[in-house]
Amino acid sequence: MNINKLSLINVIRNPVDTTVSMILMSLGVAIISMMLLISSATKNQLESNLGGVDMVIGAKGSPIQVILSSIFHIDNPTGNISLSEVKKIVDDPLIQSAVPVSFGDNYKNYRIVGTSKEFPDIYSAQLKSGKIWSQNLEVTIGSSVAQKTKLKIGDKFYGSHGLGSDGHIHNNYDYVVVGIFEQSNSVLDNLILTDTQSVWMIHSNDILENQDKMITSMLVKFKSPIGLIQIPRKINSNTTFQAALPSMEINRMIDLLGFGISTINIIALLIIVVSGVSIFLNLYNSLRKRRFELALIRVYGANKLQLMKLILQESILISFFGTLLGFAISRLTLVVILNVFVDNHNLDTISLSFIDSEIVIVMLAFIVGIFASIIPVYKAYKIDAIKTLTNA
Amino acid sequence: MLEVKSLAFTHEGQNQICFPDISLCNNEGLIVLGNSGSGKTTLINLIAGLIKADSGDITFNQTKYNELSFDDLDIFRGKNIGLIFQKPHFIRNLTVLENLSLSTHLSRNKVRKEIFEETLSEVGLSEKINMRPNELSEGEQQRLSIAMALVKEPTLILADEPTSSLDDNNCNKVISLLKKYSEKKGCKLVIVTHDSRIKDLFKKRISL
Repeated sequence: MNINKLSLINVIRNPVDTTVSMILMSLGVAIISMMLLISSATKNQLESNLGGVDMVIGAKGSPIQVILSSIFHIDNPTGNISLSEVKKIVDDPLIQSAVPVSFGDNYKNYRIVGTSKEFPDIYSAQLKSGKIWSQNLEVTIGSSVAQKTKLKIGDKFYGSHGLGSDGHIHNNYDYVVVGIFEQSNSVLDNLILTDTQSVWMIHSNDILENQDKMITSMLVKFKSPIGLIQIPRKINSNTTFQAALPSMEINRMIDLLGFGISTINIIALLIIVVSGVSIFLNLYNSLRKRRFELALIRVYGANKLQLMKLILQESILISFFGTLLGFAISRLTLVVILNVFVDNHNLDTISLSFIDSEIVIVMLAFIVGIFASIIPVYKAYKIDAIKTLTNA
Repeated sequence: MLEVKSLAFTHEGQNQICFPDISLCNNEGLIVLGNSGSGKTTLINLIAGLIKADSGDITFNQTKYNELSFDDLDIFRGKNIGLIFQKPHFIRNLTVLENLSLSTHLSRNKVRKEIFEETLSEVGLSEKINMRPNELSEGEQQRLSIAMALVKEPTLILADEPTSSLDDNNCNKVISLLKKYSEKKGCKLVIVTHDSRIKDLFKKRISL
């Protein structure tokens, strides 16, 4: 038995005194840790969904909406653009590739995207089984779609109109699954891909005979950074389309998101500070009860430094255990939220392992532990062992 | 050999207390009598090296207290002196065994479980080894505090009113334990008391 073990025992065998402080600490830590995990996963997700897309050409409107709808497949598109017009623009030596995207239908909330065969390449997607679509109405589906809808190769299904599940069913044509992609941890996992022609076919009633063929947007990759400087400006000023730059819009989104996150973080920090106050009150009160004990430890032969170490360690241990508990709570909460409450396909791949930025929380808890113990440590230092014991 | 010569100590705002000289050989016991406030506890604290005297000398086994710093005195006390207080105090979160282990460790003596078990059986607490101190009766607590003093095998035991809160039965047990140990190990015993039951325990007696 020594001072180190004694501090641990004092924390563990006094659950009534230490639990409240630990729970407060763990709540604060859990909230911050959860924010960090979500924002790190979101950032990774955003970046992997960008794939190799440098620019999106879409109908005029909010650029963020263009990016959200065409790259992240979470918002409605701003409108349609003429395929023949946009083809003239992308026929440019500075452009390496241009992939058309058209949608308007879904199957059980999974979007059906009409595109070209280069689309899977944007996400470096590999086939798990079957093949890429080759004829009209053939589809190749993402791994999450296959998993959640139980669609297999050879299965047929009707798409429903719109991007929500309550649209009318297009029961004049049925799609057939010909292939399933490997998991790519990108938005592709949640998409049903087919050729542009199929989308046109299904909506042929809505399209007038002599009307120009329309698509939703065009995903463009440049050959060199010069394209990034010249082409977007040209499109925005000379055409009826707009060019949205994913990297720029993502930064805007992260900024917007960041505001909310920092507000939540401030609340969590306050909780951690309160836990520090609770640790302080705890130690301060227990000091009164333990004056004899501390004096006794001095009489046994411990010096004042060891006594101070005892109190400091108890404080740090409480905040440390609280932090560990907080990390556990944040992960457990995320697992529960992801599996029970949220049907958001984009957060399926959130990582629960320790992330580097969480080291800041550990340091924070450590500092709170030290600060909470300053006054109690000083009190312990001032204890007059002799007077305490002999005036008993 | 314990020698105390012309010792004097002043509590803040009070008159100086002068103590009679003491000379104590191995195996010898001393009873210190006196009314409360006469400086009995002060004498114990001085001999224990917990406080320093205004003047005078304390020499114990060739070690002069005046030549030691407080830190050295802490170590010296830890190794050589067993202290028993009027009211026993323990670390409430530790078991009987852990209390023994902590005090032995802090006094820089070797932690040996056999010694703990042997000492506990001598004071009749073998069964209570894994209990918390507050689960023991008052008599058992006082016997435990004796065990705490004995495990480091001191050559001087200082006891401050060790029997005042005990009934006759427990009082006899405590006294015979202390006597038995001091005879066995050749240890000096200083007992401060105003308990008439034990004032005739040793031939040597001083009154303050």
